[in-house]
Amino acid sequence: MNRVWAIAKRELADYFHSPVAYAVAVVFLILGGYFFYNFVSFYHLLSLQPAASRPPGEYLTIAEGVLRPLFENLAFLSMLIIPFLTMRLIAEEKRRRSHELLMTYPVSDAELIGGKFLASALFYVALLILSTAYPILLAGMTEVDPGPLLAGYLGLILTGASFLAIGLLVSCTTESPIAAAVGTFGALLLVWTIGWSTSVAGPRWTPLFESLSFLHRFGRFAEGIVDLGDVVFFVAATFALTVCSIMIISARKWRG
Amino acid sequence: MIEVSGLTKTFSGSPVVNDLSFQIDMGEIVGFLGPNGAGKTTTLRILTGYLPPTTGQVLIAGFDVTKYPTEVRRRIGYLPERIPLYEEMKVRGYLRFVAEMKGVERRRRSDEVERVTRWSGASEVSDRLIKRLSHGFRQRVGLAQAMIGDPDVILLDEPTSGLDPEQAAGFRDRIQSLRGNKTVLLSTHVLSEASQICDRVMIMNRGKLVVVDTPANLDRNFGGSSIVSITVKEGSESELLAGLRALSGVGSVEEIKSSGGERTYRIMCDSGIDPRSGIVRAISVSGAELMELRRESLSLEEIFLELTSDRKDRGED
Ligand SMILES: Nc1ncnc2c1ncn2[C@@H]1O[C@H](COP(=O)(O)OP(=O)(O)OP(=O)(O)O)[C@@H](O)[C@H]1O
Ligand SMILES: [Mg+2]
Repeated sequence: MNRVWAIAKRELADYFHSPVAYAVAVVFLILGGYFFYNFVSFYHLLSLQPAASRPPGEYLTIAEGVLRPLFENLAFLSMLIIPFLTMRLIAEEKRRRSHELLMTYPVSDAELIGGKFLASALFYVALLILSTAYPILLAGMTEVDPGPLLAGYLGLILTGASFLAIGLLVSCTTESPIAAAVGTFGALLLVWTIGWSTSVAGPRWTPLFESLSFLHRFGRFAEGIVDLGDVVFFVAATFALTVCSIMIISARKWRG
Repeated sequence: MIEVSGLTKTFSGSPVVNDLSFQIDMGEIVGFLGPNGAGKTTTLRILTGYLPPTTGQVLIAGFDVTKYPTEVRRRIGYLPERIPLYEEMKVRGYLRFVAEMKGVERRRRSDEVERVTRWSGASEVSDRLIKRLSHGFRQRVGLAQAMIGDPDVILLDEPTSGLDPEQAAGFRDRIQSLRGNKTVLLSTHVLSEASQICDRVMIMNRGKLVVVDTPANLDRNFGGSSIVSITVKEGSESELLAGLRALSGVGSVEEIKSSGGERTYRIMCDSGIDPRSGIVRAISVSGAELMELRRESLSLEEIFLELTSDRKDRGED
């Protein structure tokens, strides 16, 4: 456990030495704030209209009108930034050949992967914590139900964790951080949009694609619904992907 | 302490290390020599467990590197050929990280880092960023890193390459101070360096061990050989060559220079034989005039080149 933490600490220090991490944080928070501002303004505009002139069936709550689109957009932003958080994790060690030395220390592959994952997860969670500024601002203006808020953040953490695990896995397969970022982005886009295939694949396959779709499952968190199945799905996906990374690292060692 | 038997490593079909067997006892300092591409780095990487052997067995302190990698890693300190360090870290922070990796207890960590930093002569750069270090200091940090955790076996891949003579001497002194307490295997291209600090020397060429011996024995077996260079004028060249080659104890005769009627020959002579008077006689028989005669004993470097000379026909490196 000591070693996991040592690896994570060193990796976090690397984040703060790299302009990429700052760029990622700025993009995430500024775009997040921009979206937030738009949703609040739109909600404000709608709420000023008399009930009769609103679109039928649309009943307006803060959770529906502001939080849900905010969470959906933060999840989308996560998909954009996470490739940049994970691209260097293993690929950079290989590129600078420091893994030759790392592999001669008494550190296990699981500790190495665990430390790398922990570092990226801590950075991501720090971004999420900073993003709570928006809902806190909202709570200053009006009453906000904490339930959907907590559900949304739980969803972001779980989805983000599985995104990070995908990025880490891709980073294990290459010596080039850029290639890792591109590959990760492709993989994330695929798992995010796989639900869209339902219309092509036909109704028989709909449940399968929906159950695999990260977007679909995250959508329920954004609506404020915490479904145990969704929680298990993301935790299991994160775990399985991390185990795959460990296996790739151990297999790679035997190739030189 | 290190036992290697039948070690072979092939990369895409061609053997880089070929049926290597040797033993190194506790407390010994052994030098590993060979020309570029001999397979020294590959062998050291296998000893650390970083590369798997294709066939053969490596035991470090009785542990098989492929079966008990963690036990082996606890007992080795390794300085790679081109030390990959984390450029953005400060020296002290980096060494602390290594101490954590090697499982040094938290309360002993600072002392341990302090100890190896002082020992390797890196104290004055403790607070500097690694990317700003000169090669000499990078190498010291690399050595410090290997010593953390007080491992029994130290593997050093060309520790003195690229160092100025003074720093290289400093490195050699440090390595020598480990004699008796640590088992050290170091690779180098410089035979005189190996013979100066090592108890034994292993000379490797194209993946095979050519010689394993003490520096003193190497010197005795090969060091007695000498080269006589002569410069002569006029006389019959063919008669001279025939006369020289007929002498007992003469290996080869080569013409190395010919200008203004003077010809210079290089004559290899076997150890324990002084053929100078015979050479002078052969010259006068051929009717030539002796202008100069010089005898030099073969240096260790030349022995090394002789032993590994088949590398010339490899066409690479
Ligand atoms: N991962 C690898 N894949 C393929 N070939 C390799 C690999 N590593 C080393 N080789 C080859 O193995 C041979 C021996 O290399 P090695 O680095 O062990 O030599 P060396 O004795 O350390 O040489 P030097 O003195 O130049 O450091 C070289 O011809 C090299 O090209
Ligand atoms: Mg080498």
